[in-house]
Amino acid sequence: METKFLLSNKFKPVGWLLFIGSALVWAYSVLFYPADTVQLRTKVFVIYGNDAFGKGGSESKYFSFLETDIFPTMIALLFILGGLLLAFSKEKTEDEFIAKLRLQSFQWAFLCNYVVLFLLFFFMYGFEFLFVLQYYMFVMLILFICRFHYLLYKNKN
Amino acid sequence: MKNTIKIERAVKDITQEDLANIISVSRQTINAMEKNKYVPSTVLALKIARYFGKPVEEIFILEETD
Repeated sequence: METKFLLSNKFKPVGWLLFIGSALVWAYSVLFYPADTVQLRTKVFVIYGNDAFGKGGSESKYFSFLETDIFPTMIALLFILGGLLLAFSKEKTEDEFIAKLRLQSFQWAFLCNYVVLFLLFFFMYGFEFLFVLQYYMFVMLILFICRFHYLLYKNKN
Repeated sequence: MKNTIKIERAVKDITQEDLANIISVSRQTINAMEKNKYVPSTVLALKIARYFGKPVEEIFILEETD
């Protein structure tokens, strides 16, 4: 039984590197530098956006170029890319049981993801809610990767 | 469904790892089947039976609850 949309096992180490690397760089910048001191200001193409968090002001632009800080953007892109590579690369021996574990983990992660969102809506309000939401976006990916590797490990013994 | 993979494996004196390599599945799969946590596909059941040189029914046995 073959699961569709899976990459070669070779991508897995690359996934780990990007996933953990970007998380560590982000954690380091948040913990050891005051807010907004780490900046990578660059001109980027935007479909819709402004530089309200920087000095560019809150005037929004459509389909044009904008100078803004892309440090969080880079971290998020690398983290998502790493997570996807991890979640969608084959195991060394990708067989029917591994495929079953994979699908079960997806189901579990999907459910937990929405339980977490439900609780966030219930218990968090205002800007704190928005602050937590930006991290919440990555919860499903993280839950899936943890659950899948936990099940692989558990079924070895 | 029960199975006698563990017994057959002991008779042949091979490890889970060996059997996994022979029928090209992961060791997790062999382990899960031996612990009755996983019911293999027909293809895998036939492969296992062929390797042990026995009919499928001798290795995989239905239970009351099935």
